[in-house]
Amino acid sequence: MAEIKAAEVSQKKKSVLNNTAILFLILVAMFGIFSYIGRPWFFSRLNIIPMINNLSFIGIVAAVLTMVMISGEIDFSVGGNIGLTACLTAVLLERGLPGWLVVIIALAAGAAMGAFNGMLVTVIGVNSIMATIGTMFIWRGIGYTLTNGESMLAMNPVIDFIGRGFIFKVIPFPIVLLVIIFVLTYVIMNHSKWGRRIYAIGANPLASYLSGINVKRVKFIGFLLCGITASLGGLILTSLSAVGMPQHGQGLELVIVSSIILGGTVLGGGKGQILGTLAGVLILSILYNFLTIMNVYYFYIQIVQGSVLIIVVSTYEIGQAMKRRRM
Amino acid sequence: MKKAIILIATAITLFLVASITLSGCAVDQQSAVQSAVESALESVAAETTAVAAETAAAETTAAVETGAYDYYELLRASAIKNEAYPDAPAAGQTLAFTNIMGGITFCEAVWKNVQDQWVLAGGDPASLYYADNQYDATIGLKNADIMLAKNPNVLINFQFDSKVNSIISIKFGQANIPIIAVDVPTPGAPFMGVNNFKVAYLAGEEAIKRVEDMGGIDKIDNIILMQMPAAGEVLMLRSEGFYQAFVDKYGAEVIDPKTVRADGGAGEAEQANKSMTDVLATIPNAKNCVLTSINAQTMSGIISAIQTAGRWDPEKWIVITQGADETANQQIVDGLVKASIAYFPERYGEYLVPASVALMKGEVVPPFMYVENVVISMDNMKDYYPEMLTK
Repeated sequence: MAEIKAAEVSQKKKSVLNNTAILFLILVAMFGIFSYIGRPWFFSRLNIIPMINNLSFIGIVAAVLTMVMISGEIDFSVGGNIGLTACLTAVLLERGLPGWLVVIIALAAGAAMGAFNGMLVTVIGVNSIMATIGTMFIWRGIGYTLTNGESMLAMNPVIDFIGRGFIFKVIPFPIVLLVIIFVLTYVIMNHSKWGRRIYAIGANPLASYLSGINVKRVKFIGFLLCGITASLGGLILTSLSAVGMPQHGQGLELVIVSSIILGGTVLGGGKGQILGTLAGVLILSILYNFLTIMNVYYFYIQIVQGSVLIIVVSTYEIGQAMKRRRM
Repeated sequence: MKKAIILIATAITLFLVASITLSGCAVDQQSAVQSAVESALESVAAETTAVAAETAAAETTAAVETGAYDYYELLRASAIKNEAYPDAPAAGQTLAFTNIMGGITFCEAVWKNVQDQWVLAGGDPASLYYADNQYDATIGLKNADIMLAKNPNVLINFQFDSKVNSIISIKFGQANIPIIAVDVPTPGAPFMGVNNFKVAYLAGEEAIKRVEDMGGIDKIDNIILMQMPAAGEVLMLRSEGFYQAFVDKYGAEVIDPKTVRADGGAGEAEQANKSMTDVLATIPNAKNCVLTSINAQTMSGIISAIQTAGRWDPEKWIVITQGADETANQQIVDGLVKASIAYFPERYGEYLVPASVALMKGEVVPPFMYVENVVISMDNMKDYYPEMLTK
C-alpha cells in the first residue's frame, strides 16, 4: 500500500516537474517578448531589481504556503499576518525598542499566529479555509487596533536594511532572503523525508497516518513556518514602505494563492512544486510590471491576469484528463 | 502535545494582551476615530507645512517678490483658456502620473484633464506614463518603482498615504526627478489640490444655512461625520472642518453631544454602507440629521443604508457631500444630497500640467496650488454642470 502511494506521489511529482518546465519556458518566452516590446525600460537594471525586490515578500510567503497547500491545507491569514506584523513593528519602534528586538518580537508574533492557525486546524479540527479566514480578520483587526487605523512611520536602521539594504553593496537583501527561502523549501520538499511526508499527507492523509506519519505534527509545523514567513514578509513590506499600516497585505492572500495555483499546486493537496510556485510568482509579477510599463489600464491588467490563471490551470486539467484517457 | 498546546495558548494570550495593551485599549471604533481626529487637529500644522517644508519657506517670499512664478502663470493662463501652450514646451518631455484609484469618477476626471492639458502643452500622449495605485500603498510603491524605471522628467503623485509618500519622495529625490503631490502631501514636493479644512468648513456653512431654514440647531438630533482615518490626518480635516463650522456658530457645548463620528471605510460605497448601518443602530431615535462624508462614493453607500433601514426622509436629512463629481451632482439632481463642494477635478490638469512643464524647464512653481471651491446645489447647477439637468 505504502509502496503504491510512494509510486503515485513520485509519478505526480514527475508530471508536475514537466509542468514546471513548461512554466519556466513560458516565463523565458514572456521575458524575451516583454524585453523586446517594452524596450528600453523593461529589461533594465532600474526595472528588474526593484521588480524582484517588490515581489520578494510575496515569493517568500508563497514558498512556505506551497508546503501547507501540498499537505492539503491552506492559510488565508497570511495577508492579515503581514498587516499585523507591519503595525506591531511600527508601534514597537515608536515605543523606542531596538530594531533587532523588534524583528525578533515580530517573528515570534508570526510564529504565534501560525501556531494558533495550526492548533485550530490540527487540534480542534476546524477546516483550514474557515479557520484562517477567521484569523485573517482577527490579525487585521488587531492591526487596526494597534495603530488606531492610521499609518505609522517605521524607520530604523535594522528595519530599513531588511527591505532596502544591500549585500556587498549590489544585491538587495530581500532578494537574498527570497533565494534562501526558496532553496530551503526546495531542498525540504524534494530531498528530505519531511518533504516526502508532506506530499504523502496531501495525497492521502489516512494512508499516511496508517503508515506511521504524524499527520497533525507535520501540518502544525507547516502552519507555524507559514506564520513566521508571513511575518518576515510583513517586515520586508514595512521596510520597503517605511510605514506600518493595517492595510498592508490586504488582498495579498489571493495574489499569493493565485501564484501558487498558477505554479501547479492543486487545492486538494498532494501535488505541487516549489519551483512551480517561483514561476507562478514571477509570471504574475512580470505580467503586471510589463503591462504597467506599457501604460495599460489596471482594468485590463486584471482581465489579463485572471485569464492567464484560468488558461494555465485549464491546460493542466486538460492535460491530466488526456493522460487519464490514454491510461 | 499537551505541553505544546499550553505553551502556544499562553503565547497567543500574551501576544493578544500585549497588543491590546500597546494600543491603549482603544478597541472602540468611536474612540479610535476620536483619537485620529485629535491627532489630526494636533498635527495639522506640521503635516500641512510638510507639504513643501523645505521649498516653501525659502521660495515663497522671494518668488512672489521677483515674480518667479511668471512662467507657471503664463502656462496656466493658456491652460485655463484651453489653448495650446506657447512654444509647445512639453515637446520631447516625459511626464508620469500615478492615479490614486482608477474607475472612481473623480480620479478619472483628473486623469482625463491631465491628458488633455498634456496635449495642449505639446506633449506626446505616448510620453505621458500612467499607473493606477488602486488605493493600495503596496501597489503605489510598486508603481512608483516602475515609473522610476521609465525615468520621467516629472512625477505627478496621487497616492493615498502621506507617510508612504516619504519613501517615494526619497527615491525620486535620489534620481533628481521632481514630484508634484496631488491632494495628499508628499514631503518636499509642491502640493496641488484641496485645502481640506476650507472645503469642509464651506460644507459646514452650507449645512448651517439649511439647519436655520429647518428651524435652528435645536431641531437637529445628530450631526454625523463619516470619516476616513486610514487616509491620514490631512483627510480627516475634510470632515473636522465641517464640525468646526458648527462649533463656531453654535458652540461646542451644543454641538458635541449631537456629533457622531464614524470610520466610513476606505473611500468606497460598500464599507461606508456597513458603517452607516452600525451608526444608525446607535442613534435609533434620530430623525432630523446633518450628514457629511469624504466623497460622493461613500455617500452613495451611506444613503443606501439609511434607505434600507427605512429611515430616509429627504426633508429631514441635510446631506452635504464633497467633490461635486458626476456621482455627487447626480445625487443633488436626484434630491438625495442638498449640496456638494466642487473641487473641479476636471480642471486639476490646468494646475498640474503647467506646474509639471515649469519644473521640466527648471522654473519655480508655487509650493501650494489650491483649487477653487464652489458650493454646488440645485440653485446653481445650471451654471456649472448644465448637462446634469438634461440627462
